[in-house]
Formats: sequence, C-alpha cells, structure tokens
Amino acid sequence: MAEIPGGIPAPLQCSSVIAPQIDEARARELAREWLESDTKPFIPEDKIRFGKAVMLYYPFWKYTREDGCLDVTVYRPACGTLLSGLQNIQREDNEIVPIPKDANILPATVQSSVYYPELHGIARAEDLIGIPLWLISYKVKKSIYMIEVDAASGKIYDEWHPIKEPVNWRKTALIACIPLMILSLIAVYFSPWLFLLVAGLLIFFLYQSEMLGVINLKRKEGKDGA
Amino acid sequence: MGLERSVEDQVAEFYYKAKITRGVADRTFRTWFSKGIKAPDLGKCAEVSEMYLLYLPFWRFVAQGKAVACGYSEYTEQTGNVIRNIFEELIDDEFIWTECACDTGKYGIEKLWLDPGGEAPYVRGSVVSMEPGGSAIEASKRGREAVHEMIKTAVEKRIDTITLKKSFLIPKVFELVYAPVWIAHYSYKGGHYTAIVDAVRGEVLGGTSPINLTARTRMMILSLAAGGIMIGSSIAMLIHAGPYHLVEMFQIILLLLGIALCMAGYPAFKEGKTFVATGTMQHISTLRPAVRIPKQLTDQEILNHESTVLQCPLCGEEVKQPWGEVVIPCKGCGHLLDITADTVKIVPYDLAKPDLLAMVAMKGVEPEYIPFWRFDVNLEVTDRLAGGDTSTGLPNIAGKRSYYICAADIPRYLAEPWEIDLTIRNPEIVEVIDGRDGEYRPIFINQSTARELTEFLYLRYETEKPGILQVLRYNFTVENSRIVYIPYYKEQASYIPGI
Ligand SMILES: [Zn+2]
Repeated sequence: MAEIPGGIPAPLQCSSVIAPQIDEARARELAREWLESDTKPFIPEDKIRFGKAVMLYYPFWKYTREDGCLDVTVYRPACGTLLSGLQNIQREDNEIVPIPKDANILPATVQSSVYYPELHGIARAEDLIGIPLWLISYKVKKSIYMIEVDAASGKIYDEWHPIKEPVNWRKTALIACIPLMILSLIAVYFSPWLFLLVAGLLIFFLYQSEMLGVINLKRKEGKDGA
Repeated sequence: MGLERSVEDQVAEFYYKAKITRGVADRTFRTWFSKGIKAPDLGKCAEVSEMYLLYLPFWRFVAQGKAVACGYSEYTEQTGNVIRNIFEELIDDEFIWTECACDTGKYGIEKLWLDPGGEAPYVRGSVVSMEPGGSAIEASKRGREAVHEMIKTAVEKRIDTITLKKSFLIPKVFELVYAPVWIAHYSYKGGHYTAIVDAVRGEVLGGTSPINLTARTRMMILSLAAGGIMIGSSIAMLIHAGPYHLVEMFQIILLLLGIALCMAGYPAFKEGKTFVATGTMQHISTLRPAVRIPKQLTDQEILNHESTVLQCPLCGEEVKQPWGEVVIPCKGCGHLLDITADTVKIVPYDLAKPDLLAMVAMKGVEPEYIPFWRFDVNLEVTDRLAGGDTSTGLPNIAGKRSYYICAADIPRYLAEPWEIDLTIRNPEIVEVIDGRDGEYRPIFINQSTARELTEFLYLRYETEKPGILQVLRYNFTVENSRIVYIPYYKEQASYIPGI
C-alpha cells in the first residue's frame, strides 16, 4: 500500500471503470418495465411518477484469484452502502475503459485488505474499478422510492419498493360493515334474538378473514392462469 | 478534558469493535422474523439475499451540564387551601447527545444506542463504513443546543414556576463514532425488505418487514363489524323505540361512536405495510450519498487562520499544542500562552510560595504546583429571597473577592473543595522569586470555561446554604483574571495545600 508521509494512507482512486452500455432513456424504460411486470405484486402503473435519474460509479475492489485450477474474479464494494444487490455483484466480461471525464465516481473508502479474510486462492491481481449504476427515484402516493439499474448489464437490483397488498380493503370493510348493520337494525326492530345471528355471522367472518380479504386476488390469479 | 479548538479536521474519530459474528447475527434475524405482528410464515419464506457488516457514523457531543433552578409548584387542596412547595434544584451531570451522521433513510436509525466506553481509534479504510455527511461545526452546534435543552428539562422537572435559573454547559468531547451493524437484505413473497442488527450487543435495531396480513384483516373486520352493529341498532332504536326505553341521547352517542369506529378502523388497518419504516430519506431526492461538507470559513477567519502554525507573540517561538492542553508555557521565553483561540494570547500568572508552616512541616518534600484560574470578581447581590430556616454559619462570599477554579486535569470531586476553600480564604499569595523547579501540572481548562465554573461555584455555594433559595439577582463582573500556581504536597492519595 502506497503511503504518503505521516502515515496517512494515500486516497484510493479507481484505475478504470466498466463501460456503461445503457443511456438514461433505456434505463428509465427498463425501470418502468420492471415495475410494471406481472411477476411482482405492485401498485398499478398510473400511480408511479418517475423523478430524477443519476448515473453514479460505485467503486469496487476486483480481486482476481487462482483457486485450484480456476481463475475466480470477486467484486466487493469499496465504499459503505445501504443499497441492496452490491455485496455479491457478478460480472461477466465487461468492457473496461479509462475513467470518463465527467464521471460521478463515489470516493472509495475501504482498503482492499478489509476483504482478505473472506477470499480464497492465490492472489493474482486486484484493481479498484468503478461500476456504473443508474439510480432512479420514483414516487408512489406520498413516498419516494428508488430503483437501481445496472448501467452495464441492465440488471435491476431488488430494492425497497411499494407493495400492492393482496387484499381488497374496501371490499373487506364493506362486507364486514353493511350486512351486520342491516342485520342488527332488523334485530332491534323485530326481535333481539336475531342478535344471535349477528354474533354468528361475525364469528364466521373472523374465521374466514383470509378468504374474505383475498377474494380479489384469487380471481385475478385465475384470469392470469387462463 | 476541555473541548477547545474544535476545528473541522480535528474531530477525533473512534469506533466500536464488532462483537457479533455472522452466525450469531443470522440467528438473531431468524428469531426476529418470528416475533411481533409480522407475517406468520416470514421465518420460513424469507430469503436472505445479502448479509454484511457495516459501520454507521454518529456525531457525539458530551458535556457537563451544571444548572441551578429555584421556584415553586402549587396545588389546591380539597379544602381550598393552596399548598406551595418550594424547590431548589442543583444539577451537575454529564449529558450525551448523538446523531447519525449519514442518512439511514427508511431504516430509521437516528441516535447512537451505545454508551461511551470501549472504543478504539478509527483508522480510515480499515472497515467498511458509511461516509459521514454534513458539517462537523453545524453538528456540534446542534449538539450544544440539544444539551442545553436537556439540562433545562432536567432542572425544571419538578418546578412549575421558576424564580431563578442559571445553566452552564462545559463541553467535554465532540467526536465522530462509528458503530457496527449487520445488515440483512431479504425478500418475502415478491417484496424486498431490510433488517439491521447491532453488531456489539446483538439486538435488532430496526428495518422493514411485512406485517401479518391475517391479523390486520381480522382487526379490520372486527372494528368495522362492531361499528356496523352500533350504527344499525342505534338507527333502529331512533326510528322505532320498541321495547327499549333508552334515552335518545344514548342512541345518538351510540350512532356517532359506531361511525367513529368505522372511520378510525379503516385507515388504521389499511395502512401499515411495514413493521418499522421511519427516517428522512433526505438524500434520496438528489440520489447522492452523504458528502462531508467542510466548514465555510469567513474572510475574517481565513485572515486569522492563514498560519496554522501558532507562534509566541513575544519571542516568535513555534508553539505546539499537546493534546487537550489549552494554556502552555512558551519554550523560548517561559510566558504562559493561551492557544485556544486562533491567535495566541499571553496569560499572566503567579507562582505561589509555600507558607512557612507548610515548608517546615513538609521539609524535604518537593511541592507539586497545581494551576488555578483566579478571577477578581465584583459580585453585587441585588435581591435575595430564601424560604425556610436561613440562619447560616457559612461566610458570605459576595462582594469583591478572588475566585479560584482548578485548571488542571484533576477530578472535580477533589478540585471543588479546594476551589471553595481558596475562594473563602482568599489567601495572600507570596510570589516565588528564586528558583522555579518543581512539578507543574498542565492546564486543561480554558478561561471561558473557568469563567462559567466561577459563576456556578457561587450559585452552588448559595444553594448549599440552609434554607431553600427562591430569588437571587446579582451583578457578576470579572475585573481581572490570571493563572496562579499553588503548591500542593502529595501524601499518599491526598493533597495537602502549601498555603
Ligand atoms: Zn515565547
């Protein structure tokens, strides 16, 4: 490790970056597709409002190791992050280019030796490389969320996102409220014995709460399967 | 001891070592999954995609809070008598303020959960940590304000009407502390969540998780059904009294109650996607991680700041600041120099000669010189009122007199009695002329801190008098200040004053 006098480690600098393959428009398109895909239980599309998109290069340590007769390349983040998907990032043969002039590179703050304990094999090389990520913010109702798109591969990392719940709350509320209201109205009007029916119905509703709540989803799934 | 010259780049950095291993953290996550009102099959269906150790930065401000508050609280007895309790509160405690120095967004970690103790110096790059953002100066200002507020609430706790209040804040440490956490990203039925475990004690600190859908549906049904029954029956009763002879008022109340239950129950159980989801998300709009903002120096500061090398104004000798010391002797000319400001100031000082009695009694023992700030104070009490028995055997220390505040790094419980003793006695100082050998304690408390301690010394003295102090108004003017080295003879664990 190069040291500048005084014992302060030299600032870490990326030697090169992985070339971004997708532009902002494509990244936004990918993000939208992912958010609207049927495999994820999401909020309907019309409620998503996209905000800013920024391409940031995250610094990574690239360790090349010879493990047995295999060459293994391992990437580990060289800065602290709360984003998901970056710890075990996989790279195929991406084109590595010199750092573009106006690139937003996050400062690397982690020495390469930090990850040594979890690496195997004989060290062959180690580089500090910037990996480009598109970070796109979007708003659903009043909450802001973020989506991470890999600017080299176009892969989208699972990040905290809004979840459409498999329950139709309005329907559940109406089913619970209206019949019991009418029934108790009749009970008071005609005979208090009918309150037994009210109690029975309430117990049935509670027992069947899952069925009641999920009515909407079941029907949708049937449609998709057909 | 004292916190002085807290320039941006001089903020000390420490970190807590992680004590929880990956395996233990993993078990903690699994136990957490099965607790609380989370989805019941979370433990089975949750897939942890990543788990890693990360250090989060926190600003920490530690200060000694000293405050005196007097006043009374009143309450009325059943007989109509007004009972007045008078109070006299004295606070002399350590206060700690912490704030997360990076944005933890939705995970909602805002304060440090660890107490001071057991930290190691932080070496940049040696662990994976989040970058601290914002300005250290701004953070220390926020800390100072927050601690002032803490002192205020602590001292005013029992008192309704304050008649006298003075509070002092003696800063001790402002630092950046890194605390380790294990972060687990996991997915559950198409949603993505995160949980955070403290890597020192192994407790779950926060995060996001899906909550129990069945329980929520049930609560929703229950509240709305109950509302429905109430609305239904009350309407029926209003239309047709039937066999029930209830007051109409009650029927209307029942109707309103039912409507209220429905209106409250619906949004309460409809929202609440996660277990914990607080935080600011303040950096997400710019989509940039936190950046450390250095303090913006004013022109004045840049002018005064140009030489980071401090020099003696008399002989030009370069002055180096030993850690924590605030007033040091110049190596060239021997004058005492105050180096807490950006410019060096000369501090006048005296060296007290041990009196004859002490010299005879302690023959052959070299005294140790302990520095004291001496303030020549003119204190005029304009108004004083105390409740209860006020007959006192203690001398009055108002008027013109010298106040002594210990400036060395000596525990306060030892130093305070000396200060009181010297302030009451105001001994005559005979200067040492010949020979200046002996041991001199370094000076750790600067002048402005000592000035605050002086006023507190007076207030503390007044509250320690019998009776409960209620009103005290005074003019406190410092006419002169200097350092006085006073000889003390060390005998086993105690010190014997030489004057
Ligand atoms: Zn000098």
